[in-house]
Amino acid sequence: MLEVRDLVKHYPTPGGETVRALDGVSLNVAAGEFVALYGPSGSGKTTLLTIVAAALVPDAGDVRVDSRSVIGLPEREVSLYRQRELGLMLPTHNVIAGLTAIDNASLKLLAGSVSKRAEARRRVEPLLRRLGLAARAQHRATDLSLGERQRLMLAAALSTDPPLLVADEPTGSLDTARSRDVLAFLRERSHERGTAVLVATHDPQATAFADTVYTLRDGLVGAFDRERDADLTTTLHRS
Amino acid sequence: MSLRNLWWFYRERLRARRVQELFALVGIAVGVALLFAVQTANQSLSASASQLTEGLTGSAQLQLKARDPRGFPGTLLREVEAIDGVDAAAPVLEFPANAVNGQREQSVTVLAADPRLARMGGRLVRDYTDDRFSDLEAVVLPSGVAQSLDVGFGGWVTLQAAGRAERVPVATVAGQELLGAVAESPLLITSLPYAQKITGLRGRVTRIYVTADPSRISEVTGALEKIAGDQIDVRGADFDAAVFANLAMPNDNSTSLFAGISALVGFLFAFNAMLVMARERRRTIAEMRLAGYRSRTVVQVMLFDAVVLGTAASVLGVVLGAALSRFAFQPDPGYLAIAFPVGAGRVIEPLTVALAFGCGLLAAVAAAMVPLIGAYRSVGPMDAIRDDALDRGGRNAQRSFWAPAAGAAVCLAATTAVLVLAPEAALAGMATLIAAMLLILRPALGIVVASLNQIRSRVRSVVPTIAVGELMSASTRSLAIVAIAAIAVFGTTAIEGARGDLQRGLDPNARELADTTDLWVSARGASNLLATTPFDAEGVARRVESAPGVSSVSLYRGSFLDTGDRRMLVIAPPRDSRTPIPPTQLLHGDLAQATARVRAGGWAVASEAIVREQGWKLGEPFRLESPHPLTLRLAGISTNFGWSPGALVINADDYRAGWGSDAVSAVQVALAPSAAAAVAQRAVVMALGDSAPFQVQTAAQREQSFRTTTRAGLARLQQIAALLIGAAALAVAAATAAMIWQRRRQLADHKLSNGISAKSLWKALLLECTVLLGVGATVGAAFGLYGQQLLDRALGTVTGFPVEHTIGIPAALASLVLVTVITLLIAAVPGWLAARVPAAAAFDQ
Ligand SMILES: Nc1ncnc2c1ncn2[C@@H]1O[C@H](COP(=O)(O)OP(=O)(O)O)[C@@H](O)[C@H]1O
Ligand SMILES: [Mg+2]
Repeated sequence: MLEVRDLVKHYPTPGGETVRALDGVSLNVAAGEFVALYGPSGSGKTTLLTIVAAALVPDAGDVRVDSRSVIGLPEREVSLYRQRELGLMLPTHNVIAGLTAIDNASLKLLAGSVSKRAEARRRVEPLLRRLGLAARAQHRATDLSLGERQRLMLAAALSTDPPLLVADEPTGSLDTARSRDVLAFLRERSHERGTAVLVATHDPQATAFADTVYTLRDGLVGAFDRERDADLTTTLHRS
Repeated sequence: MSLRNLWWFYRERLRARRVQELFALVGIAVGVALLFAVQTANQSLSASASQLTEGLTGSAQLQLKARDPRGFPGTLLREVEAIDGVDAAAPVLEFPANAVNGQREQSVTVLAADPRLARMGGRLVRDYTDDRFSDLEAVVLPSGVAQSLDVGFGGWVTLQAAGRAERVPVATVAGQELLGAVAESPLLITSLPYAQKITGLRGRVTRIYVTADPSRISEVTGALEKIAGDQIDVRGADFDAAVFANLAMPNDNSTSLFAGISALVGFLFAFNAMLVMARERRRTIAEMRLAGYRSRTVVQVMLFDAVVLGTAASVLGVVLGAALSRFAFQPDPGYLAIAFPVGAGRVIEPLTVALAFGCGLLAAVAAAMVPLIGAYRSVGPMDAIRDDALDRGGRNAQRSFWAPAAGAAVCLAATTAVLVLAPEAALAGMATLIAAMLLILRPALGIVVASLNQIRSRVRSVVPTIAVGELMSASTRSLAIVAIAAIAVFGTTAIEGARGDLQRGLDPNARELADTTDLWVSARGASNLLATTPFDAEGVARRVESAPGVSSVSLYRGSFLDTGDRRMLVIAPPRDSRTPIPPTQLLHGDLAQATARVRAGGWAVASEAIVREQGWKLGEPFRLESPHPLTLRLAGISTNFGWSPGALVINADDYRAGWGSDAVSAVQVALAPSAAAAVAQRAVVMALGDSAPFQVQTAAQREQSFRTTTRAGLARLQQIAALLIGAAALAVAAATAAMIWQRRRQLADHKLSNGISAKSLWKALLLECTVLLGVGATVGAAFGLYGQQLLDRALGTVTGFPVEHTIGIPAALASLVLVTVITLLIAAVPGWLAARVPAAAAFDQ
């Protein structure tokens, strides 16, 4: 479903050096597969996801979704790609304060193929129920707790039933129990619906839920070694 | 925190929000500039008038002042000097004239004095009337006059005065360094004997200034009164400043009123410009609390921010305001110049600078405190990472409907009470009206947004959902924009409407004053607009009568007479005048009867303010302190005919008796029924001779020049309205742009997460702005119409001008549409740029 080939992205720094955020990264996510991209902060995870979301052009390499490259797509195609093929979850829980939870979750549908508000609501309702937000649907989004908001964002991302879901630090601001719920949901979603799921995280917990784990360090991917990589902080101290 | 750390902290944070800070800066600066420019224009006139009086009189405390424009015998000087306790006395001759150089003309007041005045020390005359100048047969010109006549040292000007013309050499030109603001005044200085020679007023003076032993002032005053008798007034040396204050009062009051409104508006602009930044400031507060700073430090940091911004913006505002007052907003003496040699000198008072500066600073600090108070009540440290929690007020939108609506109702009731009971307290009424308007904004926006929310499901687009969602957040920021738009439209509607009403009230007056005959012949010069300059009628009337097309001539008289502190206009039309009393201007009394009585003689019509002040009664006799005092009876009470100190109408024969002179101030010409006005006008000009110091006007031309002059007086109000619109457009655009700019990350998020196109985002932004501006502008227009009624009543009461009451709906609509459209056009650009934000920005933390 998602193929990342030899991706390179270097950032120039004011000091004249370059940060090698990605230095030839390749990885695959198949339909129905839950992949975790695991690495310490600053290792290039967000950079990779930004490129996958067609919001950043790499220096070299290619990203293919369903065998079609998403690099350098024209403006209109980009919008369509993000609406239909991509579900994206950001660590910032950006909601429109004045809208209800369900309206916030419907925005993505309304921006795309669905033009009736009622129809959009009908389609996100099961998702909200599934995520335990049914009772909160008519509340203002700003009245939701952080955990609820996280799940609201997930509902929004999945509202168009995209074949690919990409999440950046989905458990970043959650406690352990809540993190587990979210990860379990993602795993279930990928297995039941055949959604390809790519999660960038520095949370070792996530690796336990994933079918495949890649580690990212210094712009390079490696295979995940549970023994060696389980605790990133010790890894960092050692190096 | 130490000042150094505060500064460092400020610089660090500024880097992250340079654009927003810039918008707030512009908003505050615009408000400050508006305030400063209006105040400066307003104060310049009275400042240059008092500089003139002080500069003339020096140490003198008293004066003898002629009632008759042709003065009194200068021989009285010796009697004055002989009074015990008088240290010095100085004669002055003052008369209006028209200075001509080629095609250029300038109305001036000629001021003639001798070395005795120089010795009294008035700085204006010190250098030009001392012994070297005592037999000077030339004139000194202030630089303003020299410039407008395009003449300098060694040149010549023709001086037309008292119906004569004389060529006189220019001795020197005096500039700002010697005369101050008076350098711009329409004056001409010369020696006393020379002035007496060229006007034919041999041996006569119009004033004698007196310096006396301070302990014997009352004794001296008594002695002076004995000398003065019935025909001369004894007044304080600074009497003219009081007269000017009275003359300028309606102008001052109306501009002060309008300046007050502008100040209020300017302050609110500045305040709201800061409020647009409230979100940014709340975030800072939340972040600082998260980082464990103590409240005191947070307050310090916020205050420091506000003071730096307020100071920078106020400096910019004062500079902008100074430029405005220099290039667009010049002091215009308007009608004041008719009775007072006051010019367009610009005087910037330190107080004005301080006031404008203080307002800018106050606005910045006050607005900085709002998020602080709000933040301590409702923002926890954790909100630093919850973006939307910073838009407070959203949750309360429903709840806060009735409280402000009730507050608005109370304020409206207060305004209505002022309107009905105490219209002279218009500024207070304006304040409560603006308060009512501001209070009603949140409920009004709430209603509009709620109805939009109802219909948005029917629109097949994501655009209204986003826009309505943002609107329903009803943050401080959005309300600030609504408020700025409302205030802008309110201010322009009220001011422009009231100005129009004043103008409409004055127009029929102009027609009726001019339309009493077919042609007017009077002394040349703009300051003789009201036909107040006397001349010898004899030869003129004969020559005019002989012109073809002329059926008959009659003699009009009139001048100014100081009554109390008022420079009253005396209108004395001939008995056969078509309408001696302008029909629409009579307030009390029967028009036909009053006209018949004034024609018959011994009766007068006077303006309301004078009647009230003097305690005269309709139908009863009163004494008029003319050069030869008259006993008259009051036939009717009128408006002031647009002459603010007030006017008196008697017939020309009564005037002759009261002034003891045959001199006239205009010859009224009735034409034969077959004669065309323009042809006859040319014939009369020919009969008088090309270079005669007279102007010949048709009734229509005279009406036009009345209108032009009253318009000039009202131009200031129009300028204020125009400036307000301009400032408003800028302020609203700045606020809107700031709001849009703050949204960029959120927009990026919409693009990335929801795949919404830049175009849709742009449309949503524009829709949101349209609603905000539309609601603000509509509420502003509605309240502006009410404000217009308030101002109308105030102007009528304060100025005594005839004011027509209308409801300026077209003007209100025009300013509503103008503000909304201009702002939208301006906001469309940052809106487009913001909508084009790279999607990757959504990842930025
Ligand atoms: N826009 C940018 N400009 C310069 N350097 C960047 C930019 N974005 C990320 N970086 C650098 O690239 C490296 C990888 O960052 P990122 O992809 O955010 O890592 P992660 O998400 O794993 O924490 C970091 O060193 C970061 O400082
Ligand atoms: Mg990251």
